[in-house]
Amino acid sequence: MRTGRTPWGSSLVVILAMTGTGPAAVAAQRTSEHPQPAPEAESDSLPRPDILLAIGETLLINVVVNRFDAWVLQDETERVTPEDWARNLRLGWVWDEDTFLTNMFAHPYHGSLYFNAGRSNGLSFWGSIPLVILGSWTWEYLGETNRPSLNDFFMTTFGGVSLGESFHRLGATVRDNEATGARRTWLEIAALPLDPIGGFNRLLRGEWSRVGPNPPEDGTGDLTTWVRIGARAIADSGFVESEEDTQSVTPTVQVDLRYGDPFLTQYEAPFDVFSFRAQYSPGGGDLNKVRSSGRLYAIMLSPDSARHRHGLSVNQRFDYYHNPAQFFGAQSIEVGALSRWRLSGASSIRTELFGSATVLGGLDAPFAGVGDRTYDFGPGGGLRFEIAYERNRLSYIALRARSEYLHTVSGASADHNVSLGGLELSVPISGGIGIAAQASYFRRTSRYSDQPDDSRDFGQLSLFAEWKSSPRDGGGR
Amino acid sequence: MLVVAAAVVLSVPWATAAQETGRSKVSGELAFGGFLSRISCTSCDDVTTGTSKGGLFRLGVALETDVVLGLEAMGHSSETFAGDADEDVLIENLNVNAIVLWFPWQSGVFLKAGVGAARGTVTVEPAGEDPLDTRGTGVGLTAGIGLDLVVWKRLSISVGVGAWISALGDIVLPEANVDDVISSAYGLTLGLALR
Repeated sequence: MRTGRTPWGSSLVVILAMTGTGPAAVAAQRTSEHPQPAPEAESDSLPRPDILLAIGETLLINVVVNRFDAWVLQDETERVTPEDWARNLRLGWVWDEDTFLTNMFAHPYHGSLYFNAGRSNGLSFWGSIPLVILGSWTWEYLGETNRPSLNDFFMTTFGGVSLGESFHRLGATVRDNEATGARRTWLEIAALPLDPIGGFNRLLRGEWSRVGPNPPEDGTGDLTTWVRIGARAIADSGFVESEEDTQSVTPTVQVDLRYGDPFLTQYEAPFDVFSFRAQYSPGGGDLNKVRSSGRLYAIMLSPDSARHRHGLSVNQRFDYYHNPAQFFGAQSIEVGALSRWRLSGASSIRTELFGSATVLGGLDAPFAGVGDRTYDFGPGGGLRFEIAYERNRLSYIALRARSEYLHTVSGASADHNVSLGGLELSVPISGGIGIAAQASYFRRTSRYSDQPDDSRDFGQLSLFAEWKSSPRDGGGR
Repeated sequence: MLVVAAAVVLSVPWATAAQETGRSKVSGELAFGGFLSRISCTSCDDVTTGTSKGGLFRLGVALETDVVLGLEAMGHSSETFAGDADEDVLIENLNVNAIVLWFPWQSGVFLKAGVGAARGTVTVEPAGEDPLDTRGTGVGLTAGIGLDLVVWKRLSISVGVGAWISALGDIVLPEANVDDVISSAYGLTLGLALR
């Protein structure tokens, strides 16, 4: 799906991302209307996984997207012939030159469709991963006249798993199998942007109207949503050699979701705890931040009754930053420790310390030298630390610091270091309404083997009016 | 013919044995195989192909009854990439990947996917001169399908077909810099597994 080549394509990606705001608001409303968790219910899965149908739908997604691009968008790269297939099979993988938005965000969304072809046909998280590989592999070799793109394969597969499972659970949270009538239909429609394949399968099986228990993936009562509207001021140092600094103020909308609590939600399956943030600033990079983290595995080191809780966790992360200073994106796995130190009353201090392995990251680099592409690709690693003051498990003050290293395997001959840090403050006023302030700092240093070193800074200050839904007291499953 | 062969393989007693014995919490596998290797780069108009031989070693832990999480080290080498008759070229690849094995059925068939680190070494030995070697380090991917044929309790003969992709970055050769090298290996492995 080539959505980065036209303004309409970019808008489509934004709409897909920000329509999460609507379903998120619906999910939050369901949370407040139904503070008690749904009774333990049958999974949304079929009694028996339908592997053949899942495979068929995965391949059908490629056919539909290919024909839509070729016939409707008149995209010549989708008019494939057997000669293109033979050439792609003979030549194999290459690094492509697509836009940063297409490579780092649009492909993960495409991958989530394959993933949810599996989840909505009864396959588990692990069982749905081969479908993403199948869908992405066949698309790269057979779906386009271009040679198969290795970075697309990475992004579609890893990003597809991360976004796919998150959207699968959010879709289940938005829907309500116990609702009836027009409300039931509108909830099913509201979940479509998140999980269109799941919604389509439910329609085929008659589940848009069938009343029954909600699946375990339904996070009602365990989903916290923040919507922030405000302004963002940015300052970019420019290149070291340049005296040009850029500053601007742009309107900004930010959506935060937190599904489950890592200290209260007992580990049962991957992504039973995850968080998601998206930020949109028209005229200031448009969709400029998407950040998600899903728990793959966890063990608690302290009993439930302990005053201070400690645990170890393995998370899958997806990061996308696109601001006037630079682009940075990464698919990574992190391992680390997290603690909640109980203070008096409902107050606590939460700390997190994680080390990460970046499977594939991207960073803008003026000397990339790969055709039209102006960013480097490569693996790497990093460290992340966070400390926050919480009340009733909601963060009011949070300090974050992160450092990432990237070794280029496609682009300039370079090694990059990226440092990100920030302070976030949330002040409640009344009910779920409040104000929020966020200050962040982004610094990158690039060391080239055949060019001068490059260093850039980016500062950002945002002020928001904030609305949030509150988790049910004592939440967690 | 392939479908018939697959049906026969999946129906023989070892398929039942796999179901009856279940799988170990900890598993291991050692296998060897032959591969079709391919090397491409950003500035390459075409790809260079050859054959290679190698092996793999896997260690895994069962997360669920049908999911094994593990580590795989796969190495292969080839001496078939020499273009100049006066020099020998040895290409060696090592991939160390975190892998997931998924057993969708009881027959012993499994699907594999993984990602990790990759290292490629090119050794060029011109006739009568000292060898020169250069290395690239980057990221690796692997995917494949396999079949465990239980021969005794938890010991199986494991047959697999797989792909190993290594993105090695820039390789500096005596006569040229090769940008953004991607090395691929596709092949068949045969070995013993304790699962």
